[in-house]
Amino acid sequence: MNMQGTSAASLPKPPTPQSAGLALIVDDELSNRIVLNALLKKMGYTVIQAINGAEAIECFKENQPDIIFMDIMMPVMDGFDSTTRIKALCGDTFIPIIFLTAMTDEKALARCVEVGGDDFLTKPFNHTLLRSKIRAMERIRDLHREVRTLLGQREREEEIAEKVFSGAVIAGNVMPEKLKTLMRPAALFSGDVLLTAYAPNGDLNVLLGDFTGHGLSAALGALPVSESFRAMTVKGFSVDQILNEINRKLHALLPTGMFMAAQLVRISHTMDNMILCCCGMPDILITNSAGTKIKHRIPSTGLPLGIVPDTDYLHSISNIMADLGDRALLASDGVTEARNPEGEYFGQKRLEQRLSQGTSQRSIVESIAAALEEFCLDAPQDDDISLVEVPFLPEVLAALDNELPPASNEAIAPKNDSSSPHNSLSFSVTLEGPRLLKTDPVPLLINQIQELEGLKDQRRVIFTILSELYINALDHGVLNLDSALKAEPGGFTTYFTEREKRLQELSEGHITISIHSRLYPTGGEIIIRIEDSGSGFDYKSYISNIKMDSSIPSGRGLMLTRELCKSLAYSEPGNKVEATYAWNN
Amino acid sequence: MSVKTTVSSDKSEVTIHLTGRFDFSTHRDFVGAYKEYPKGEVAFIVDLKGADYIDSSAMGMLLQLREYSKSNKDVRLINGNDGIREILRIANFDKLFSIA
Repeated sequence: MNMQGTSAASLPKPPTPQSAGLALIVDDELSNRIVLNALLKKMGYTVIQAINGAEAIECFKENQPDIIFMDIMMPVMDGFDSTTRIKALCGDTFIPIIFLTAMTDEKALARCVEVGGDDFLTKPFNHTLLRSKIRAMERIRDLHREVRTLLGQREREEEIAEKVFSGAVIAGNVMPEKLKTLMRPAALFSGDVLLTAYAPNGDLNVLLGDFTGHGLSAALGALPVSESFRAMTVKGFSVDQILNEINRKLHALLPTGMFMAAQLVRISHTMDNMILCCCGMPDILITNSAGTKIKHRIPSTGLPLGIVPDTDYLHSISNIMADLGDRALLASDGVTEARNPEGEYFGQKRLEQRLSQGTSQRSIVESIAAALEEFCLDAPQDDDISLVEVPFLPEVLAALDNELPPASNEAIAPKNDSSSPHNSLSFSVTLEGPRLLKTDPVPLLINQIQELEGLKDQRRVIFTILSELYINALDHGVLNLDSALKAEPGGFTTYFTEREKRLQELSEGHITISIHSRLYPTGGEIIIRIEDSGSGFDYKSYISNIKMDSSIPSGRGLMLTRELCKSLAYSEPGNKVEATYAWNN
Repeated sequence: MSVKTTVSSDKSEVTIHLTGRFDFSTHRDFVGAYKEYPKGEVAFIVDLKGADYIDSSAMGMLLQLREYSKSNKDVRLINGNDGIREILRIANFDKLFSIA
């Protein structure tokens, strides 16, 4: 057969703006083509024609029509084969194919749809009916295009947002090698967020948050959370202060119904305790060093963050004594609620069984990840799955020693001291009675010093010195606690319970902190004096007894301070201390 | 998931009955169910008898309902199965709702 009538397949006119689009007629009967051609032109279509299935494919590749009318019985290649191939070429673009056929048997008609056809009409066709079918197809096609455009837009926007998100939230994390994580989001964006940061004294803070829902809207809240978490950790605020602030911020920012459940763990640089808080998440588990036995469970005691404006998370915090190598396991509910193809949940029981079995894997995270894979197989993932394993090891802490500014105990003021007689600064603050419970003056003072003196490299060292001395003054001075308590079995908990009790009951007593700093062109010096209302302690034997011995749970703070300072001196009766720290620029 | 509501004879109390999975897919129906009633005027009871699961977005919807109800303490969550009660307990929702 040959091409008939119009310029047809060889030279189609591109659709004009007013055109309804480009239609392809595939039929070996000239008369059929003529009738349909006339009808389509009336409807505003530009028309091209092909005389068999094979030619239709060529025509399709060359011209990308908007709609195709397909006969079934044709020489060379029939309409079924042609449709199968054209639909494969379409990819995810929707190009409607309407079968027009003289065949009336049900099987043939059903096959039209099976091979990818979108509708069919038997010949001889009724014009009104065909016109309606074409209009219906146009509507579906337009809808399809719109959805595709929207999806494409969303994909692009999410990609951009993902970049920003990783930059702002993830990139700021510290990632000690020993920290093991599994973060498997259910969507491009996870509603789970993992944040890590070092406090000035080297403590590691790890927060695993789980926002309502997942996807972009859930991820939005992570930005302000990461900002507060990091800024406050770096400034040395306590776990409860950090949680209070995040809670306050989220409550102000998020609409009702959006909130963040969280688990937080702080590994203390003294390597004797960890501080934990669980707010609306599954229990935090603390295991032995082999990862096989659960030593502690920290249940959810706090409300998720962002629901109520004025919650004090101080009361939701646990302080537990840990042994070297213990592991804290943080997990979002996506782990226990992961489902297998039968719809069963993975569950807490399977998780704990896996733990008790022990494993050849190096970390709990890897072991549970393997168990999840075995269990879920190819079942779709409903929720974000996050697992974090924080080992209680000095390696996860900030490498304080490496980052210290050069030890500068010889930093001496220029001989001609009078050249800068005024370049010094002094201030002092006194906290009395219940104030000692409510206020932690250390971060505030550090910020003050930094603001006034512009110190940056020295910040962490000064923080460590100041906080060690302050805690000594509070615990052993004002509260009169004996650190020998900690050495007894279970003593650590007793110590902290007693400390909490005495703090709550505190009605008198005071601590005065005086800061005197001096800047030289080549460096500077800061003198910290702390005096408490206690009766003083036997600092002489205390200092001579302390060694860097990891078996003694106390005294390392003071030891560290002495190492850091140019001089450290207690004076009688042991309730006054003066520490001098000096540095070179 | 299905959402049905019943109203007490004096019209002061609306019970929302849930069945199936209570999660994000229920959002439209759930919000639609309580928004039929004027904000701040009725007390709500959420009957979880037929529900077999609740996720965090559902908890978000409960918080929205809490804000919508007559007074904050006027939302009661009843008949949840053990799994659901455990999830509500973990979230410490007993501080925000009366759970029975």
